[in-house]
Amino acid sequence: MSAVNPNNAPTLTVKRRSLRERLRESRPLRKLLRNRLAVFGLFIIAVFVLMAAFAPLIATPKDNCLRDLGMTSSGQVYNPLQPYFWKAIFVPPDSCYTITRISFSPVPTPPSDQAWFGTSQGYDIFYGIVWGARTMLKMGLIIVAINLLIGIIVGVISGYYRGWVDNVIQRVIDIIFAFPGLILTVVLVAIFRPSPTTIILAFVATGWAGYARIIRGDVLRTREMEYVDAARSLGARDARLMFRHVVPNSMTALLTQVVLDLGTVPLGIAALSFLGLGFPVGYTDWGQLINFARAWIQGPSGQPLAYWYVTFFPAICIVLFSLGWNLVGDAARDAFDPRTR
Amino acid sequence: MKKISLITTFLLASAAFAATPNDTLVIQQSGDYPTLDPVMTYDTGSGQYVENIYETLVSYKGNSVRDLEPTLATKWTQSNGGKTWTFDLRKGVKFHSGSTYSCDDAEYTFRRALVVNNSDSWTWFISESLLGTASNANDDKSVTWDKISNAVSCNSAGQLVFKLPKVDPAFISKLAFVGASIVDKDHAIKIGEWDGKESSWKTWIGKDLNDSALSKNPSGTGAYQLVRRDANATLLRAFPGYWGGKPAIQNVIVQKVGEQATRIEAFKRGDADLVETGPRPILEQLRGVSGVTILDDLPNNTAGTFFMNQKISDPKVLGSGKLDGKGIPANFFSDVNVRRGFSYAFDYDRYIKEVQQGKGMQRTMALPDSFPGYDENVKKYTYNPKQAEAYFKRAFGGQVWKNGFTLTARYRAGSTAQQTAMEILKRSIEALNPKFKMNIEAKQWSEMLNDSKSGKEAMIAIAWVPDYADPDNFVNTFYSSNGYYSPRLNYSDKNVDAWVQQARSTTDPAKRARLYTLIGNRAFETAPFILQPAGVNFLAYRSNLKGVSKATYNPMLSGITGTLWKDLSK
Amino acid sequence: MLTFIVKRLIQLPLVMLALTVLIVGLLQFLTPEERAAAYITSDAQARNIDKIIRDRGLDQPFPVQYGKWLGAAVKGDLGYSKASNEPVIDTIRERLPATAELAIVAAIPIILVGVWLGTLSALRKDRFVDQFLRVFSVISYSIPTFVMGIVLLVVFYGFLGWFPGNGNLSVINQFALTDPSFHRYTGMITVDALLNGKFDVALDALHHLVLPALTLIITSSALILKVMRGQMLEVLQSDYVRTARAKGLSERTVNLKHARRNALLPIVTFGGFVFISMLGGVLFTETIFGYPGIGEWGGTAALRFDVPGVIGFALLNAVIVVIVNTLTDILYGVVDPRVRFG
Repeated sequence: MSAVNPNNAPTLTVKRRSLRERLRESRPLRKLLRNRLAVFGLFIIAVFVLMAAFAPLIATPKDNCLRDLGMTSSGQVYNPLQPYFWKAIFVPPDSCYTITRISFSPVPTPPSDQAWFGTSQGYDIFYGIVWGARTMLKMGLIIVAINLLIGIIVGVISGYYRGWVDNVIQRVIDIIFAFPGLILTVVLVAIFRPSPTTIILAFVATGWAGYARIIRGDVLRTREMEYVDAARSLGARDARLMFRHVVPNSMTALLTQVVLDLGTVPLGIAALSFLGLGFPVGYTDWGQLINFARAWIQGPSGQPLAYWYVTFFPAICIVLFSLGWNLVGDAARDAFDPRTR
Repeated sequence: MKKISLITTFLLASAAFAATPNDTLVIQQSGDYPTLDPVMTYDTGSGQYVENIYETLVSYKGNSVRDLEPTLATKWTQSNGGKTWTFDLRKGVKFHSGSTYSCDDAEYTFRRALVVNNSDSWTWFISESLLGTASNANDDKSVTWDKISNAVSCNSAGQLVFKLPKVDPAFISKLAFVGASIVDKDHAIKIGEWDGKESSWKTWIGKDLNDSALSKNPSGTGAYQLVRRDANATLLRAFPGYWGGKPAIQNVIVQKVGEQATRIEAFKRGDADLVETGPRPILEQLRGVSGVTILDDLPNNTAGTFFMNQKISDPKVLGSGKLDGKGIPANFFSDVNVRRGFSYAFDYDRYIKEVQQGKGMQRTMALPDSFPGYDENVKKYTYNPKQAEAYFKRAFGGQVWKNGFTLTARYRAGSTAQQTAMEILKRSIEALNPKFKMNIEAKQWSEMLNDSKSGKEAMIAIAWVPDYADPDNFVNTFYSSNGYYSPRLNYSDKNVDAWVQQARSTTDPAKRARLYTLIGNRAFETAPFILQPAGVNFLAYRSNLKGVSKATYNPMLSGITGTLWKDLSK
Repeated sequence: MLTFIVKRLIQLPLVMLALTVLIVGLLQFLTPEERAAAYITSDAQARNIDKIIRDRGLDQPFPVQYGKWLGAAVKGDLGYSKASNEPVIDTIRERLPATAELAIVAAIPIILVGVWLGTLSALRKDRFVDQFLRVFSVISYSIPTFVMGIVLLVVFYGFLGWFPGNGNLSVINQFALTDPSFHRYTGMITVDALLNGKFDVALDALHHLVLPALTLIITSSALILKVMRGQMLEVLQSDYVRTARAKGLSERTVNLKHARRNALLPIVTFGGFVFISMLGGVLFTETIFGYPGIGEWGGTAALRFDVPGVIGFALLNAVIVVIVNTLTDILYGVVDPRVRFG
């Protein structure tokens, strides 16, 4: 920045100030809050975030989780003066991500004092839902963050250098796009064995390409714009140019997409569970819980809805999670979109 | 209005299409099957068809797994001290292709099995009886054409003669295996299969014949002939020239429906007469449904165990590798007290009650109770934490009890039953002593097969499904130090080994039974593995289907009803 | 335009080749035992796993295995799929028409419903109808396809008995189809039945398509709705529509004649996308409804490490994707005069 040529400076500063101003006035934010659906979406997400953060207080540790935390009774977790409280919330042992077993019987049992949402395959649905919120948020954020990072880097390189680099990258993306929906994910998870890491890896392997395409398009467009030329003629280096000037301009479009994608992570995981490629059985994960429901959507003779809780609770969580992010994403798109201002 | 009329047309159409004629049997299965060629048939998926299209020389009588009755043979005699078997063959039997069944066909069938003996196939055990080796000519150079043609041949009286290198009490039950079905020689040669001659046998050794011409175009002597096989369904029709008379069921369609819920709906509506129901909990949804009958308490011929490997060869499974509470030594299970402790710590009753829905039984041996040689008087372990504690205290001079251990047990990924069984064991083991820890991990089947084969796993859940109804198929596998499972278990007991060998080389049933009792008792004392309670089979069928009962259910058959389709009617 | 098509089609073999290297390469991460698992259908067979590996050369190095596959593929032999228990080529020939039939039957309502509701939503932006439709569409596509499928099956087949719940034909007609006088022209049963003059069979086949198609419609329309709404909003803001409005044309004419027509442009592209995304969706639908299509096969092949099956399925998809994309691009050019092929 030190070598700024005074002649060209205005273009740059105007652009940058406009960005800042937008934030300061927070018009999009105000718009967002005026939108009732968006507020509803934010509310849903807030509930899930709180549920995830305070999971140990809502569904208290039992069995091995209790043992590995060094506690003797579930009630100890409520005392913030003791280390258990902090440990359970911030660094719970792996065993806490295993759904509490109420029984070993696969036949569902209805909601009771012991299991508020009933049991599915002998597992406590309530515990799975609450701790599952953690899993889903964690998975969603990690997957989307990695996708975004790779997508931006690859997209920028592709769009900025063009030529053979671009060509190679685009052909790779073509290959990824030649697989419909889940198939590549399924192949990858099947090969590398289902585990949280491989599931992330598989979603990343297929997910970054979409972002890279968006970024590349934006880069191709913006790199022709005056201010980029200006900066270049000022001697700004490529990397600096791209990440300072090109990427921020593409971010709004990308971020709304990211928010939308976040919401569908549980859906993808549920699809993997359906194929037997999801999290290990017993892991706190909604996808697995909804997959358990497959054989129990229909009740016994004469009581078709007897097992409603097995399907209802996981399904409603997956739907609300998706709905929340979607409403926020839509609203964000409208709010940041200059055309709808 | 138009819309309404369209909908009505559709609804009316549905009513019109719903009816399935009474001479048609509709079955829904979850998966596809690999082959219709008997020489490759080693799974129940294929077996279900092959047993109805083809026939074997002998077959199981009614629901018995001990008694055999003649089918394509009429009688047989042993000579030469049990090493030569001579079969009289049934006359007046026709193949679907129209050709007449003769000794040539039987000879061709068994020679073909010995020649091909592909690695995916059942033929290794017939080869073991007839040639003394489980391998084909590519893998075992001692297998020659002379040996094969000598082992099975037709004599001048048109009888089929088998010559065995040594006595094999299981030989006759091997002939009842569905894969040993007699194929149509002329038809097979005509459509391009092996010509049965010495000049060409070498090109057929070890070939994968799953997709053979014979699989696409089968011709057997059975009551049903193949009409069509596609991605969706397999269609069969009764064979008009069947020697055993005209069956009541004239058409059979086996549809492939992968989703359990879908099959159950079709079954409840009566669109399918028999479906693969899935495991026992499904009965909660089927009980009380009108038109559905459930047949329970059927015999189960698999044996399930937890292996306690006495020489664990993979240090990764051992944790610290020491008795310091963070792992186990490689010879952890070589102390009989540890094994007894574990055997007393499994909550058998809880497993039966919760996992098997109350329908299970503890066996005394790793041998199905319906098999000859099973002795119900052999002692068995019960869930007894006090006893378990006592034995753990004795183990490794008290070190186990004092320092505790961390054991990693593995189950086959996707097998909920195995996983739950291990969780039950884990719960009671960990309740004994807070220093006892068990980790339960899923492992892919193929990976586990391989790792456990080289003795890498500490504890695994493993089961055996019989190839043929002879106790040796189980006892040698589980108990002998030469048995198939030995490398996974590393259990070796001189007495047991000797008894297994003696039982293998005699055909006297009473003597064999005594030996198996000895083995059972010795195994109780030495506790080589934990015996999982055996489940009880059940089946559900549409009530208008006749011929399904406990008296006709044979667990050695592949079909859902444990009978052949020709014995059913509506 | 011709050069454009040729250029696109030249890419196809390259993409396909790379795809095969990718898949065969990925499968090298598996141990030979795991690859052998595809050939094992029973516990009993697993006893011979070593021989199975050796006989099939599963322990050979990657270039050898790949070379073998490629050598055969060039001659038109894509190998034998253990997931379908028949050669890959036959599997595709048998199953692709079934999936195409399902996809076509589902795609038309998906696009119509999506366009209609999307327009409605945009015109009533931020009013109740818009909000309701948006929430409703998110919900409908957030329910996992398999749950939606089973629920529809239980209700419309199990309880009401309106539509059949599995397969593509009734039992009687499956036997009727084996009659040698019934010619299979296209492989699509509905079409073949009509060509053979068997209207009852065609109706039966159509009847069997209702539930699987409905599942796809419910879970896929939301995407089109969303794109349509966005496009419509954009067009409504454009100078072009503003001019039309300024000219005093009626609101209805402006909305339908001017705005919608323009908003439809991207839908053309999107139609192709819907078709492609449905190839993934049919995996679940076909499994639930026991429908003998390629989705069900592809899923099984991937799970069983059926190498020829997975490669065959991936190649098939690559071909479909490239063709569909090329077609939509051409179509786009036809509809939108601004696009010129260079």
